[in-house]
Amino acid sequence: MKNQFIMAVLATVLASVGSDAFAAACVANAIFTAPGPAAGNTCSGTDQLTDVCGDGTPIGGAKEFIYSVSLGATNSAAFTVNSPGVAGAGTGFNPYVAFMSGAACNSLDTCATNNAENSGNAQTNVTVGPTANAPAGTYFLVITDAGAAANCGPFTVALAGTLPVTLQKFSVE
Amino acid sequence: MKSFKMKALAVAVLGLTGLGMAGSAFATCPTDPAQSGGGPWSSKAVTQAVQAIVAPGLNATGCKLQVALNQGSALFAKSTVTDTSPVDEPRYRARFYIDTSEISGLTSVLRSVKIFDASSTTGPAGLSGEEVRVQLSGTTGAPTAVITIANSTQTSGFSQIPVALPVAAGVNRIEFDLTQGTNATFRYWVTAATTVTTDAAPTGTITGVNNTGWSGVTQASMGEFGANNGWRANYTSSTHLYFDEFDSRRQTFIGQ
Repeated sequence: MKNQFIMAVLATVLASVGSDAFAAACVANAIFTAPGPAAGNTCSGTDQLTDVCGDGTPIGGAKEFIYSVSLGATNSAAFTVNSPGVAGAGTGFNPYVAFMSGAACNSLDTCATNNAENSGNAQTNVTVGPTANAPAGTYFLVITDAGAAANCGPFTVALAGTLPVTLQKFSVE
Repeated sequence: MKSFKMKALAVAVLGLTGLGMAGSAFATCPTDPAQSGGGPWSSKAVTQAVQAIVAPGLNATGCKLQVALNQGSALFAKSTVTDTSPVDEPRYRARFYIDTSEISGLTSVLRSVKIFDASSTTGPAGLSGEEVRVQLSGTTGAPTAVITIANSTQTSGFSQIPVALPVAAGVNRIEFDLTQGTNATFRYWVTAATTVTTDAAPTGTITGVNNTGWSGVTQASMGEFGANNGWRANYTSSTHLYFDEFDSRRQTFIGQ
């Protein structure tokens, strides 16, 4: 009985740590791989962040869809997001796009690459980059509506330029 | 230019006297506030905005930081400098001077801009990592510093204090002292630049703050950012804010 009580308390503490201590960090919804394009829906994401780019840009309460992107040593990648629907709950959104650098997805990640933030209306192309040989590493492409919290919907992401080549298969014979 | 940083925990001072330059008002100012350009700040960000270092400073100093956003800029417009030398600080004190004399017409909360924030690496789900945020706004035409602190005792997750700047069109000094804990304290001083302040007599104090869900201040940014539509529509790249003499510490009062 005593052990059960201890375990219950421990579970509560761990649950608390899980929801609080690491919650401000964000989790990527998918990995973006070259050559793209990719399709997604911000309605299937969650509202993980209220600010991005070193807490320098408030993005409000709309759901985000976040891609993890790996850049190689030589890169020139531009990402163009289009929300084909009409801005509204479940139908479309006015894209805000940020390309953040950081080993872990976090609101303090910086947006230091070339043209790392952009926004526009639904049914228009919103582009960030090109990265212009940004330092190799992990980046996060954040897609959301920075205006109305209810707005979400489908989108496409097109890549122009180069990411590292993804190794699909390797064998030694 | 004085540029002073210490990261050793044993040392009480974690100072970054960002743009202070004692001496002549005609001093030659540096051109870049970021370390990459020879300045004291960890980094800078200038997007759809202007940023410069101009003479004279705001506290008998030689130079000050000049910032403004372009009129009609996007929501991500910013002109900031950032210090990343703090590391999950259990206590964080900071002070800076601000000159708002070029900003008029602050008659609506729909015209506001963030001028300072101190953020933690992690925070509760769905809330900002900002532990301290200072926005410039106003409803009567005179500027008000709206100070927001992380506080999980509040349903919203934060407490907010509007403090009218004592000098409506001129130079004021803002200082605060934040501790971490389930019963933490936030003290703030908002005074005219020339007013002598003491550690024992803050402008205001908030007690009973619970900010354990945040991991402690790990970076601070100063300038113009996070402006709302009203600010971005009405103010131009020629209506500047000026900052000077940023200093941050772990323990000791800063004052003038």
